[in-house]
Amino acid sequence: MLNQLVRFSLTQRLFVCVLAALVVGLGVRAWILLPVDAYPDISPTQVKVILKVPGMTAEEIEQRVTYPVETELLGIPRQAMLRSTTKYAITAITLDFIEGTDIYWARQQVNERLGGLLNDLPFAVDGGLAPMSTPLGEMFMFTVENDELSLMEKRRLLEWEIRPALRTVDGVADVNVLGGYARTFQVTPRTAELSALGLSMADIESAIVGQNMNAGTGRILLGNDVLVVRVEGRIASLQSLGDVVVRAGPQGVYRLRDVADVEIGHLARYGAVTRNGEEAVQGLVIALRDSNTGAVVAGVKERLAELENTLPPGTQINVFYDRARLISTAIGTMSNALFQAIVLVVAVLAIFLGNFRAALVVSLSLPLAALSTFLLMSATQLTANLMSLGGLVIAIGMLVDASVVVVENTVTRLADNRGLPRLHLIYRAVREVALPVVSGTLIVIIVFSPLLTLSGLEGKLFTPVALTIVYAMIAALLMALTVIPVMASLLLGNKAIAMPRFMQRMQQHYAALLARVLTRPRWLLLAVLGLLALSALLLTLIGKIFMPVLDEGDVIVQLEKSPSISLEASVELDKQIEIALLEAIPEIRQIVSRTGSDELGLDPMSLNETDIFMELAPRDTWRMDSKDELENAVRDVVSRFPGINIGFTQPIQMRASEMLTGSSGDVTIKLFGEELAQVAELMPRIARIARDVPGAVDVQASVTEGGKFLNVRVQPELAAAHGLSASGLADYLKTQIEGTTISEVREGRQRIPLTLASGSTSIAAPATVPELEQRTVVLPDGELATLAAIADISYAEGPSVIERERGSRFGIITLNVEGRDVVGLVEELRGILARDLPLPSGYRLEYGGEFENQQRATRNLLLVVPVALVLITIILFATFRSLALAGIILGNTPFALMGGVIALFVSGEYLSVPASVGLIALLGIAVLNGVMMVSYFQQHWHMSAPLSERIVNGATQRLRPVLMTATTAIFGLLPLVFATGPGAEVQRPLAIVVVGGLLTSTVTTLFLLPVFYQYWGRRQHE
Amino acid sequence: MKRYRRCLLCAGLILALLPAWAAAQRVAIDDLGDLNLSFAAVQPLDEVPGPAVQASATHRGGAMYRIELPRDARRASYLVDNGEAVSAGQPFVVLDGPEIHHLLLEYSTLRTRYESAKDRYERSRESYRQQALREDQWVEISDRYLALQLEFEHMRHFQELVRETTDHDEAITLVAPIDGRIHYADNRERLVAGTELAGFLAADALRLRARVPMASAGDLAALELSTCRVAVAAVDRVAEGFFVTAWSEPIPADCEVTLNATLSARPLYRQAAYAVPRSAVFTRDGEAQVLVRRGNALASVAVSLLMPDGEDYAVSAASDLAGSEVLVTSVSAVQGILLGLGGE
Repeated sequence: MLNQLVRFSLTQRLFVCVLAALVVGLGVRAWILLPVDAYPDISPTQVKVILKVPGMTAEEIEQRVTYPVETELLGIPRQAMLRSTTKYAITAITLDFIEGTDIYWARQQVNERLGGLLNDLPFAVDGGLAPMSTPLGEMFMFTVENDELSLMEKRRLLEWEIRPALRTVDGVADVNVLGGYARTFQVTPRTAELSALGLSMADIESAIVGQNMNAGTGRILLGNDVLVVRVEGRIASLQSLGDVVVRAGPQGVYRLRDVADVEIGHLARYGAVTRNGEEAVQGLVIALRDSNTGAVVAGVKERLAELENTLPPGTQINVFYDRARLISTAIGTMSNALFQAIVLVVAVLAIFLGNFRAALVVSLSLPLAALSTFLLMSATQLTANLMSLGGLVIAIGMLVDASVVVVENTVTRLADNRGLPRLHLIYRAVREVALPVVSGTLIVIIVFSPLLTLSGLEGKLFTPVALTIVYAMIAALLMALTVIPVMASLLLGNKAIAMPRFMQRMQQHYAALLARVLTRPRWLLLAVLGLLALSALLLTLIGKIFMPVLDEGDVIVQLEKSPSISLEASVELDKQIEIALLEAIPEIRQIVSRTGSDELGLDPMSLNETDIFMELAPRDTWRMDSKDELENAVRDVVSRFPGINIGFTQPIQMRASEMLTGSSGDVTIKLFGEELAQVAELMPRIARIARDVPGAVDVQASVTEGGKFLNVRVQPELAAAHGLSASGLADYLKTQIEGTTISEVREGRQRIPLTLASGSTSIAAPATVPELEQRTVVLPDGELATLAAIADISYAEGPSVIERERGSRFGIITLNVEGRDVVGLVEELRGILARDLPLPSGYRLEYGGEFENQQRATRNLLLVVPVALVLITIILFATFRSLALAGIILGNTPFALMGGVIALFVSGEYLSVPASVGLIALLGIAVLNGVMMVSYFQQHWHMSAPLSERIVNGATQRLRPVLMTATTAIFGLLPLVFATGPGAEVQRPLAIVVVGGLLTSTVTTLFLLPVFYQYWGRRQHE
Repeated sequence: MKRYRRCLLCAGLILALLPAWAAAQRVAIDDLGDLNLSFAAVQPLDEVPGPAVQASATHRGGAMYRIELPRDARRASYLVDNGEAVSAGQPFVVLDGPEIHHLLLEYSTLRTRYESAKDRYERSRESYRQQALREDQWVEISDRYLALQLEFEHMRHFQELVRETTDHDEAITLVAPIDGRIHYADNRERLVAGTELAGFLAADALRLRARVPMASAGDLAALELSTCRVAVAAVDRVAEGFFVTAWSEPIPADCEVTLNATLSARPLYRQAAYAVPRSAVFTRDGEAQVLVRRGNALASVAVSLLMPDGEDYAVSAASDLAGSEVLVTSVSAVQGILLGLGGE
């Protein structure tokens, strides 16, 4: 079949050329249209349920909402994890489904279960499924700036002008509105007047609700026409609200304003945003799952530009986070590396082949393979991102291998011109190498196949890498067997191409050296074994991490303050820190901080939690060299504000960590146990122990306890006498303390809540317990009473936040690791905790975070790599028909890998998933070179020369291809080793391992393999 | 001996732990880094405000000087506005109508009859003393005289308030009997003899009446209006539901309170307390606390929150806080330190 393919290509050269042109055209089109993102989509099929239960404590919501909902949702099939976080007034339940589950099916399942349950809950629960987004969906953030507008006006602008416009942009799931004040029409009844008129709160509410409507009544005939009749009562202004009649009788007409204060107020605030020390209003655009982030951001910007003219004069949209910036820098880094790799590889080819035309023919395979890869990526809906493009860069060095072999053989055959037609010579040349080329490619594909089996985050990240490499290798193979022979026939001359002089000299020196080694192999073996032992030792010393952190170019500082803090006090501290940071660090362009919960409840932070988002100046203007130094400077400033827990993260990193582990931090320690008080007591002890472990920084025990409540218990006898129920009192007090939305007022397209509340300022709400006790309550029968007279008021304490996983409660301790490997730290910490902190029965610790991913990745690789080795052995056996020869080639691989380990140690990088992938790639290249060398020895097996001479001759003949394969691979990866832009840090360990490994692997292939072969050969002769 | 040793050991242990416990309640100001620290002085209070209650400006029963219409009137022209302050003798209404005309006539007739009866009585008394008059005749004369005197005096009292209107025979002008505020009767259309025309309330009779929660009424010291503060004179011993009625001392004129006005008044209760800014208070270990400056350290002191008072809280404390300074900014950060947050 291979022969037919080559023959067809050479006989239909025009067709092949047209086909190649078509591939180029379609490839370019695919490159332009490919969805672009910084990361591949790393989110699992995840459905989030957010339920708001205003006014209820965490423990009560857990019992009455979270628990029943969890129980119901636990029955849904194909789920991988069920987590929940319950806080004051809100619960967020997250369901992860197993890989491959359709998100629409999953959402439908959750929705069905939820729909049936929510109606059965004994009180009003607001909310439901969160928008269908991923944690990477937060891709555009801005604040609305206008000195002339108040916070309330800015929020109105964002909520009712900007948000609806942005929601129509294709790919936008929602626009989250944060900060400012949500305007309301507020009615504050005056209890004494109500009592004097014998009115209750319910009367006021029904008067307003009954009035605030327009009703259609039907049509009347008017001669030949009809006229629609409607009843109009809708409240449109404060004036018309005040005019609502609450009591009419012989004594007169009483309007709402006679018994209540009617004014503009705002909804109770659950969060706030500050910018550079001032309160602000923030918009956060969330992209739909599977949308093209680049296109969505472009659409959002376009819509904002259109809107700008319609906004009030002086309004500015201050963008402080734009994912497109990260994408363009990350993709730019990879594109640069790709371009440099191509140039370097072409140069290397030209030098080794010593012939421009031959180098040109080989080089043609690079753009063709790359464009074909884009075509395949587009067909399989793979996005262009750091990982997929990184895969292409890794493959560049290997892509040319097939073409090199084909072209080299073609050049040789053409030079040996035996009077056959030119095309036939080329056909013969290609046919000779077709099988080894295919098996070589197959070996590379098999080597990378374990990556396709990775699960979790590493799977999501490295599947695109493996797929791109596989696509590129297949494309390169096809090119080598079709387009390259055609190009060779068109571009190569008939003259013999002399080997470059430097290559000839190298061959001479190599032959002499190899002959000496073959006679006295002991020294080489000793040296190599010594190096192997050294690299094994180094392997234990190298730190292990899951994944190098992608530098997103932005910094987020997470603050955790005392759990009972008020929003005002929390914001006040944020402002202090923001101003201090801006003064001390000129590298920070602007700071936007978010405290508390957002509008949609996607990120239900408490009032004591703040994410400080820093937009940084361009790196060339910095005083410091690295982001680590900048983070240290920030840490220095923030640490001068004691009493606040600090953590560092980045926008995507934060969301990804929260999505995958439910929390952020390199290591998370979960303490499972039912009694929250016990958990709260143990957690600080664990945190203290963790702080003493070297390398542990930002150790934080999340505060679960500290919720303090006032219990108001109705006195049943009195309540019954006045017709008061517990729920009635709860509604009444809610109005007094937080306000109740009873209706809404339409102003154009704005829908403004109409609330019964105790006043627009917090001073009007009860501020002490004695004051609450003396609050006057209008009882249902119109009688007045103080709260203390009809109810018992007592203090109660409870948890402020309850975290659950698969129905079990837990507390969480997070820490980041600095200056050492995560795995080592966790192992040390685990040992210390097991020794020093015996846990009560029923309590257990689970270690997660990055560590969890690292463990899983190691487990997966340890399972799959041996399988790949078996497959390679089978291929080798099929090629050589000898298990011993296959063993020789495989036996060479550990010696090849030691260079990778040494390079890793010298460069100071950690053993991470990318480094492991590099070792896997190295394995492939070492096997490939081994095959190349041994197959040549085998071809000369029947020569009548002594074994060592045959080996030296064969090895000398293979010197050039072996060196070419190694150098193209090395130079193909060098740009990644030295790349510094965002995105490079993920691929750098891989490149370092391969480059380092190739150095030793080339030496062992050239010297050690012949020695092994000599041993085997002697045995065969004996 | 062993027991003593054990006691000594316990005491030593307690003494050793005490500084540690005390240290946990204190935070050195030098350890507070760049936190914005500002302080406010604690103000002692004699009275603590309670939640506002509804009050009305009124009088305790019977303090109103009321004037009734002596005869039916056809028309009344009011010369001063309802509620206005008037001085004694100041005309306030012109009454008009035939009955009013008859009133004047009746008064002059009555006076004539009374004077003639008096004259006859004076003369007859002398005759009776000289026994020139029979007993039954004397009784009849004196009875008639006394009846007329009563009738006349009654009319004269009203007539003292009457000024004749010169340009109109059928009209009279009434003047205010005392200094005070005039309060016309609710139904001013009904000008029938015997109905109330107006009341006059002396300036020192206007008081605040407020319904206050029964439980705290005993300590009520004063009622505070937006314009002034009025001491409480008495609290009724009769409950109305969950409340009792409190009466203030007469409302001073500078309070600018109108009769029958419904007002919002803050009850002030007698209690020794301190005023500390709201921003100084935080909760820890289930109780409210403030951070008091003690030298170069902040000590966490427990307080009981009584009532909010504008931007302050009225609090009580076991220790003397008068004149102390409390931290009013970055309080939550110090609270975090006490909770063990930060420290990295």
